[in-house]
Amino acid sequence: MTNTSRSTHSQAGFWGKWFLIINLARRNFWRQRRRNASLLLAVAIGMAATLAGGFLIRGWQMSTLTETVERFGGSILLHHHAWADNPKAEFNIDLNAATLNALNQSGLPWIDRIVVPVTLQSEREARGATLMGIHVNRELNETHVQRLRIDGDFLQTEQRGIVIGQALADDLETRLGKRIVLLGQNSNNERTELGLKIVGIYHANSESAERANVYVTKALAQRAFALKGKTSEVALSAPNILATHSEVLALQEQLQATSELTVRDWRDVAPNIWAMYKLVEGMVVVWQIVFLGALAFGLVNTLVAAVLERTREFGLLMAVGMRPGSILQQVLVESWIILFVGLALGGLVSAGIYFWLSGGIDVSQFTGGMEFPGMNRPLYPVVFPSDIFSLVSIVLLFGFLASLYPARRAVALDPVAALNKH
Amino acid sequence: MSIVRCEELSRYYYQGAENAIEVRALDQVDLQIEPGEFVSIAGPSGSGKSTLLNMLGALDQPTSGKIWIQDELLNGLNKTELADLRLRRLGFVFQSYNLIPVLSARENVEFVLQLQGVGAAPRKARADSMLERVGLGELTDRRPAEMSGGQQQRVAIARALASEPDLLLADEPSANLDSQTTADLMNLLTELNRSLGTTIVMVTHDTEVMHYAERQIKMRDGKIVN
Repeated sequence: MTNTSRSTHSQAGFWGKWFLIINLARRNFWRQRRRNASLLLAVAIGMAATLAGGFLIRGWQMSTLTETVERFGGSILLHHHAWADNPKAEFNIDLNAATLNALNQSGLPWIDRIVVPVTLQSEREARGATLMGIHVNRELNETHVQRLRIDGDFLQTEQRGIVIGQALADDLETRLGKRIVLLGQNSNNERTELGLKIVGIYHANSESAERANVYVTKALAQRAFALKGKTSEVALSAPNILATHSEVLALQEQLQATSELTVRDWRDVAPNIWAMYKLVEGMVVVWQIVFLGALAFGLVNTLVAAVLERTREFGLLMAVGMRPGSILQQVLVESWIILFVGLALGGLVSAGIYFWLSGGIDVSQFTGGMEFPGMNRPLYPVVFPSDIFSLVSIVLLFGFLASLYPARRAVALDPVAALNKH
Repeated sequence: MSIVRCEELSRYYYQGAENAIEVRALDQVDLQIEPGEFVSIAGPSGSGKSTLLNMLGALDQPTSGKIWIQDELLNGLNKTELADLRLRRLGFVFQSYNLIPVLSARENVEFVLQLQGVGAAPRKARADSMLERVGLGELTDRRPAEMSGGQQQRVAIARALASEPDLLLADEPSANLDSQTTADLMNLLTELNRSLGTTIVMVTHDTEVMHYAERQIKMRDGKIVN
């Protein structure tokens, strides 16, 4: 007699085996309901907290990004190639037929403006600022200008006036209705001096914003700085501010004949904001891993304890002929029931939190005075499907690893020792 | 063909610092058990009777020697093959019943059949029939915690026999039972041995219990002494 006549397949089929495992797992879940309920709650709370925290981090991230792009008037900017290093009237864009054709071919909405550094003088003080010569109605309808609170008029009836920020008005010790003198260099590098009446004072959400820009009509700026038929900046609005690469490339190709122009998206113009975006991107993943990693340790601990408590039972399962692989699957399935139910519950709770906060959270009492874009507006939660995908993947991966260890311990048990365990 | 055949079967354990102490739990045992036999193995604590039963039950591997269940050599089988062999050919009754606490009496009996892939209807019929046979026809839906020790042991016997094993191994099945329940249980095992023809090997240290078996083996210091 030899051992060539090894055991033939005598176990239940695929569905029969899984029915058996799932039925037993379901019963065991209720058997340890208090402990399993706490585990399930821990997974659900971990999931909900991580997701909801992610919604808010993303909300802040997108708020920063949106405000930055809104300040530019668009996510893609067209300038004279020398303008970035020296933003003066001399380095302008000729809105000729070729340029206009390229802009229109892009299919993106665009807006142009004169942008010139100037000095403003009142009777008492002088300050530097950036003059924006704008299409008033379009800016009021399409850009962040519509969110400014205006005292007086925003160049709609008094087109020969100037609109300045409240903080700048305070610095200049001037007010609505007073006159100030605007000094600068025109496109021929000649001195330009203009006396203008303050027709409006705007209130932004930060003092730095109120000091940064002053507004006149584009026609007035063109006349004053010898820029007839020209402009300083064209801002194009791509539909997705996070996916501007193809539009930038297309525009660069269309404008390649005009070598003096340069096309950049907001990442190039505001590298600090882009760096912050990438940092937050990494933070979200680290936040998920740290939070759920800690949870995984708790999970391993509890599951190992659960396996040790049931040592004799596993000994019995081995004795009656359950295969080691099936015992491994049994423990894994019992852990996964907790994981999946916890995930679903956590997802529901986080969805509830999302809808609860979707009206926006006023964080001004914490961020008042902060000069970073996006800090001074209500915080709206934002859902990134990729965050949910990565979180679920991390939970499943950690959960799998966390349950694999106790499951392998169950399989490694010596049946005789397990059956004799008291 | 013998149901069980052991040749020079030994099982040594090593204890103490650097495993210096050799404990011969089973020492050069030769044994042959024929189909339909009811065999009891008796002996004092540490005589090796449980070790021998574990070897026969494919729960433990010998240090040396060979063991066959029918024509199948157990030496060298891996964990999965041993599990399959236990499922197909062996039934176990333990001292402390070892029922699955979350399953009812019927489900406990059905469990092994379910592992074997028996369909739902024949499985239920066979479980009910076995429970009827061990006198628990009225308690099929009770969970172990709702039954007495004797009743639980009867469920364990029904579970062990439902799969129609070649060999039923019972490890001190009456150790936790009172004398009346022990007598009832032993009468049941004797009756099942006769009516079903199931080969039974029972380990016990109770001299009264061992006499229910038609063949008694005594062990001492890891050897069979008669």
